Parts: sequence; C-alpha cells; structure tokens
Amino acid sequence: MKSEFAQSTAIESFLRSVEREAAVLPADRRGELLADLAEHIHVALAERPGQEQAVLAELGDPRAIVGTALESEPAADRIPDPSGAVKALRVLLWVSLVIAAIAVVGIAVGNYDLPVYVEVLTLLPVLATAVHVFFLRPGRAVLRVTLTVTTALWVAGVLVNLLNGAPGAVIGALVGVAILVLLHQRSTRAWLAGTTAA
Amino acid sequence: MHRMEQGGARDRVPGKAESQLRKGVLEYCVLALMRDEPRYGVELVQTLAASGALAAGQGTIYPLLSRLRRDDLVATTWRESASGPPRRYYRLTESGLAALEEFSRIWPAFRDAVDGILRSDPPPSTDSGRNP
Repeated sequence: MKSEFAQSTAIESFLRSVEREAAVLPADRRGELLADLAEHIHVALAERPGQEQAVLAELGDPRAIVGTALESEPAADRIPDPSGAVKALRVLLWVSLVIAAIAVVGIAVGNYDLPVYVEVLTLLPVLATAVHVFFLRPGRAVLRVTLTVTTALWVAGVLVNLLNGAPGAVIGALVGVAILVLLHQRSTRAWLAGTTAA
Repeated sequence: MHRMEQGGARDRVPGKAESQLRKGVLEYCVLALMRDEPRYGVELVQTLAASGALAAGQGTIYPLLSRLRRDDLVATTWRESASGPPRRYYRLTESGLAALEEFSRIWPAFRDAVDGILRSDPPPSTDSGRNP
C-alpha cells in the first residue's frame, strides 16, 4: 500500500485493519478495495487538508466495509474461514516450535549422543517448519510448497534419528506426518491458495 | 424516510428494514448520480452521504463501485487534477444506462404500490369466490 503520499499512522492503521478484515476476500478483490479506499482518503484529504480523523470516521468501520464487499461476492468466490484443518495446522506449527526450542536446549547442554552435525541437520528443518506459523495467511500459496519441503526433510531427519536409536524422535515423526497430512487437506490448500475449494 | 435526518445519519445505526431498503436502491442511486456527467469517487460518496441514501459508512460504497465496474455497468478513467492526486472518474456504460432506465421505469409504480399498502387501502379482492 505504498504511495507517494506520506501516510499517517492513523491512515496506515485504518488500511491495515481493512486488509486484515478482508483476508476472507479473494486477493484481487482485496487489492481493489484497498486501492479504492486509499484513493478516497488521498483525494478527500487533498480537498479537506488536515481533516484526517473526520475522513476516516466517515469511511466507517472496516468490518462493515468488508461486510458489504462480502455481500456482493458470490458465495462460491469467497475464501472460507480458516477450516478446522487450518487451525489444527497452526497448533501443530506451534508444537513444532516448542519441539525445536527443546532440541536447541538439548543440543546446547549436550544432552544427545548423536554427532552434533546430525543433530543440527535434523533440527534445521524443524525450525524452518515452525517459523511458518508467523507467516500463515490466506493467499500465500507458496507456503504450502515450502512447508511441504521443510516438513518432508524434518520427517526424513527424524527417521535417521530413529535408525540411530533415538526412540524419543517418534514424537517429532508423528507431528511432522500430521502436518503433511493437514497440508494436503482440500480446505487447507484452498485457504492457502486464497481461493475456494471449488 | 425522514429528510431531516441527513446531518445525523452518520452517527445513527439504521434499523434492519431501513438498511435492507437502502441497499436495494443504492446501486441505482449511484448510477443515477453519474448519468449526466462523470463523477469521481469522493464526489459520489459525499453526494450520497449528504442525501441520506447511504445505509452505512462511506467506505461501503467502494465494494459497490467495484462490482459495478466488474459488471460493466460503469467505466472509469483517471484524470489529473489541478490540486491533489489524480481522480478516477466513473461514467455509465450502455448497459449501466439501460439498467438505470429500467429501474426508473419500475420505481414509480413500485413506490406507489408500497405507499398504497402502507396507507392500508383495501387491496382489490382476489379471493371473493371463497367468501360466503
């Protein structure tokens, strides 16, 4: 949403809040709505300088604006709310963040018998998977690809650990496989792609 | 609909009947505003707000304008302005004009019919055969 105008924090936070509410809209509709509103604000401010608060207040509640946009959207084009699969995926990513944190501590105190390079190699994919939790948004289809790659590497690493006689790694294996399964769900794919399941 | 409410309309939450009603006709009010000359967004929005035709905040007009663009009822062109940023001007397309004319044709009879019912004029009896 950058423009040649110096945007105040109030304007930025208004547009951000519209953007957040509009996460359920297809990406092109969301972009269009944000561009229209930004244009309105800039034109209105050029005509009534200094009346930023009034201009924003007159535009109304971001939720109401997005609600109107949803009404004019055929139901088939809407992005569904995060499904159960997406919510479960988010929970598992938080779990993997905890697993990664425990592993980091474990490596630091030398708690494991495996060679350090093996430990680090198996930890990296877990970390890479876990940080996805901070970027998970509808319309970011690329995340499904990167998540699949990092999780597959994670599971592979865990299998190596298991073969090397680390039975505790089975928890990591289960979480990793569960993430892969959830990623493959139709609703997860649709949500990440920013489209409907149709 | 009270004409007097214009100034305070923004701070008031319209009831369900009112907001449904306004939503239904808003699209045609928007089309009507650009019938004679192209208008830019802020101009359209402020005219509507001043007329009391808006059901909610001014921002709710933009999803409507976006749909009118997609449905080819309006077309837009950007114009430079002597003061401030360029403005996107909206004008009616042929199908937009046709939609507006159709609405204008239907509206008076519709309005009169609703008025008639609200005044509780006895409606012309259609089930007289069933009366004893």
